Amino acid sequence: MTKANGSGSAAARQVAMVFDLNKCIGCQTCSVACKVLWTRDEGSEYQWWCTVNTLPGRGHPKDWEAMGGGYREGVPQPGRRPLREEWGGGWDFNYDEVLYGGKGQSVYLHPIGEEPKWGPNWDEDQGAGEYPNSYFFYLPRLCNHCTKPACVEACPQGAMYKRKEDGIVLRDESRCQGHQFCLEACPYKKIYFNFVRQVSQQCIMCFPRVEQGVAPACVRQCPGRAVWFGFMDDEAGPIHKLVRKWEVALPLHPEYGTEPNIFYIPPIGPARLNEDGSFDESSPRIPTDYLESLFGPRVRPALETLQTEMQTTRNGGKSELMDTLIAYWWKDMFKPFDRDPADIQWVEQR
Amino acid sequence: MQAAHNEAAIFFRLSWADDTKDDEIADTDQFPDAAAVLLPVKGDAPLLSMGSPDYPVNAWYWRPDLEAPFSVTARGLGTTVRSANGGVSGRGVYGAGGWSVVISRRMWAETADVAALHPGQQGKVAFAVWQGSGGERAGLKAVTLEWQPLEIEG
Repeated sequence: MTKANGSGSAAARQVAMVFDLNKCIGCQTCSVACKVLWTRDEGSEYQWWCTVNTLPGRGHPKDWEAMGGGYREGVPQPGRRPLREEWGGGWDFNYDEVLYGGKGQSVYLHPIGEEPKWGPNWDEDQGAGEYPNSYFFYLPRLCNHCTKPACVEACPQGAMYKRKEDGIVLRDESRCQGHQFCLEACPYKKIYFNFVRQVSQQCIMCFPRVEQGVAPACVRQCPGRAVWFGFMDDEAGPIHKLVRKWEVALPLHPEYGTEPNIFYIPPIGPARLNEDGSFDESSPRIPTDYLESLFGPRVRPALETLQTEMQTTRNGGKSELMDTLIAYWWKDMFKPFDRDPADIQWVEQR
Repeated sequence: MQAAHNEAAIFFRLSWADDTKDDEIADTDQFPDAAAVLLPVKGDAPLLSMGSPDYPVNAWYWRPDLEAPFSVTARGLGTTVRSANGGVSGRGVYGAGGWSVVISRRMWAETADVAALHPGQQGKVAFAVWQGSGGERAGLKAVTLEWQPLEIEG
């Protein structure tokens, strides 16, 4: 099938993000930065285009990794649409009663209506493993703006497309009929359905900011210097160095076949402890098999590279990789998108 | 299928059996039933490919959860866009194990991207219905596989 807008064709350039899971503290500043900017309208209350979940965990939407979609060896896979309750969230609270109704001392704050059963980061900090060697880490997730976006391929309306100039995957809402084939096709289940506007919606990589040289909100607002943003082909930039040169930044579930452009530095975790409190360095606290189930077999050489370079600096040597990961200069993390958004007169468009 | 006109407007009544009344999208596992009347905008527009770049087709699309049907124009698969409404209206009633839906529009056409109809015209028409509970939407639908003759008495 040919599509009117030539969707699905490769982008000339690609923007990408790298999240360092060793630095992410799960503070949700990225989630909230996105929320206040993009998903406050009626119908998008339950949408969190960027979420940070504790791993190991069932994720958001609940058990999304078992919902199918994407490709296996190039063959599109059947997928299903997450149900509203599997996303959860979007609850109304009794703010009026507690904050303005004079019952602040007698009534506690609680969601109104049905008892919530799931939501973003519902299994927060549960993790896995046995004390004292329990473990967890945080995984920020947003639309992967894939190089082979299954959502674009699945849309029968030609409403979705991948921009040539930066590879951002967008939807023309005037063409979207709310058929939700994109929700089925996306193996990351990062597309939401807006029940009020009856269109599907997902992260837009803050394209109005990117067009003005401003990094996406989730990137710029990260207080932990845990995320980089830039063009993949900028060989002097951190994205290229981390993904292509040092090969320590990996996509989530590469076996899904969509070639994501959000990458992760795998977490190393602290050393295991023996019963007497001494370090047990014979095996990692976060099982490498588990990380491999998330990031594929390339996680093993990536972890080795990270360990080697860490040792280099411990021995007093210099490491370009460690210097990049430390991120001495905040704005170097997202050049050339380092323009201050406060310098721009933004106009809301509908 | 029944049709009538009063010179000012043309009316199509579609009736079909449907055991399930699907009239809302309350969750992502629900799609509403739907019906549509399809007309060539000009000439020999191909039906099964939803028109072609030079020969568009115009559909009047009804759904029970929408306030009113709307008009779309397509120039091939995956090219459907909303077009000038031109007075498309409609109403559906569910009962006795099925839907009965009337979709109507003014005769003639105010814009070039929708079908022009007038008394005395020898034209073509096609129909489609969607079974919401079967997950049908977009190209997943029951269609007339060939254009049906549309003779508008003059």
